[in-house]
Amino acid sequence: MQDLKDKVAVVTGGASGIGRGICRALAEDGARVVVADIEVGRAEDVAKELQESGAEAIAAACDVTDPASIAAVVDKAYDTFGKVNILCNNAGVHVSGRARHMTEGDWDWLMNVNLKSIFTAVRTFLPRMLESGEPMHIQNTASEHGVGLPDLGRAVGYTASKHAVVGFSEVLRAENAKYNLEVSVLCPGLVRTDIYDSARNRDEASYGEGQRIAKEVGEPAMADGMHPDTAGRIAVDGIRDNDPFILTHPYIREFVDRRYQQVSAALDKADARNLTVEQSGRHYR
Amino acid sequence: MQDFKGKCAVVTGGNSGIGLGIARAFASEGANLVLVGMDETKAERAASALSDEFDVRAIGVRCDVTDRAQVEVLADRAYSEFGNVDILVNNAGLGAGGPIHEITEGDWDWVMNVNVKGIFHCCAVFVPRMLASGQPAHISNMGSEQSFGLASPDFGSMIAYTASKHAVLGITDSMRRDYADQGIEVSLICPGPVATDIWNAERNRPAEFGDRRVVDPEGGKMIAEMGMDPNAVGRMTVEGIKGGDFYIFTHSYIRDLVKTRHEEALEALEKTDAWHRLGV
Repeated sequence: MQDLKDKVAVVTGGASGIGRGICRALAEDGARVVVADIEVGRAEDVAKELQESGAEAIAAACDVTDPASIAAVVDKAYDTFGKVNILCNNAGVHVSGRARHMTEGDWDWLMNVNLKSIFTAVRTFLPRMLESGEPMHIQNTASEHGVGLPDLGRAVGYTASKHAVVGFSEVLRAENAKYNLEVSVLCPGLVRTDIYDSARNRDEASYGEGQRIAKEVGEPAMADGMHPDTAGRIAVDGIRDNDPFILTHPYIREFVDRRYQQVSAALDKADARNLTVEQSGRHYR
Repeated sequence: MQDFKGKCAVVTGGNSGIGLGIARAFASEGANLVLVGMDETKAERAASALSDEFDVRAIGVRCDVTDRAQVEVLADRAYSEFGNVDILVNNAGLGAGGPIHEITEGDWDWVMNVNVKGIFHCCAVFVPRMLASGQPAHISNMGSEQSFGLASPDFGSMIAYTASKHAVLGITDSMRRDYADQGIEVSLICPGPVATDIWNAERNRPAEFGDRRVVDPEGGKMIAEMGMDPNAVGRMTVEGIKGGDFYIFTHSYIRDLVKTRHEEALEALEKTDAWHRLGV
């Protein structure tokens, strides 16, 4: 979608961090922006800032784990702007640590916010987007944790959720190519956001040690991260170029390559176990 | 882990399909078994058949891996019967096919709960006991070719399944690093199509995930005709674990999926590099 002028974009988690960076870059390129966030006050601040810069923007309260809340954002976007061209499923949270640091509540919260919310948002937005015949792009924010295992930060649940977002996005693209739906998956490395403190928006208090680790390890590491506006600019350029994968940091190559090498070595071993292509092909029993 | 004689292997979804194939391969190496399934009678029958055939001790236990309390009961039973659990195979899994606009929220939740959260529960319950035992242990998780890319279009869309198996790759790679220095080996089994009755998983769908779907038996016929023998997957798994492999692949063509994904990432990284040359 090369030209974003007068296109309408909805950005979840748009009130802070990478989401705010995406909102700013979209507005800069002439798009009309719906800043959707659970932190309504901050969303209103971002919308106001965009308006002052000359863009059209509104804020919308959105808890992405609540289908009714997402449906309300859809209605608000269509009522205000009459269409939606771009959906950025960017809202996400973080819990660090190994499995034993996480409670079942931690696990569910991570999976609901980072993954199931995308499933729900796509199901809620897509039918109306398809019906409109307008150009469409859905961008899902995964992570460097979606394409490999970064050296920093043990985060078994987070890594699982972000791998799933990558898989989901790939299928979504393949399924909807016939409808000209563009799909991208954004995989940021370390960006200077306050995701390490995402528990601020969590109701349930029964969480484990992972939340503390997230803050202890995350806060100093992320202080050296990329500026979120840069990440937002890279994300929006990816939308304009219709790139399937958008990676923000060159160092991500290290663990993308590491995984590829490990997987390739395992496949060599599978071959060596006398599984010729013929034997192991689709008709092998 | 090289020698399985007298070891105890817990296999979830072990009463049929790939799980049973893996259980059989372990039994042939002299391991004792806990076969876990949703159908107690079936699990017990499978256990007694393997026990007779290979002269090992085997029990069948009913357990829904999506329920932490049931997994605790399973672990209590396994440790009280066998004294220790040396191998855990998180194999239980299912698919509810369809593109995103056709599957229900119940489909999504069911797939994610069994394929992903089930592994979280089993690891959260078994790992502390494994660490406390001080014995070497192995955990093998069931991934798929779809941990790396999309399945053949012959199978139709499986968006929830693909997402879940990507998640399993993420979990398992994390676990490998998390337990590398603590005596627990970890592996990921990544099969292509195998002749199992996963196509008919609906028989086990609990009411909380919505009504059971009517499944087209044609899909079952296709997988029965073209799929690999589950016993072959079991054999490859045991050999892979013996060889210290992390990724255990069954089908060579999976390389194509892996390459495609890697090429996409590299293409994106070219662009990333260009960005950073601009000095952002």
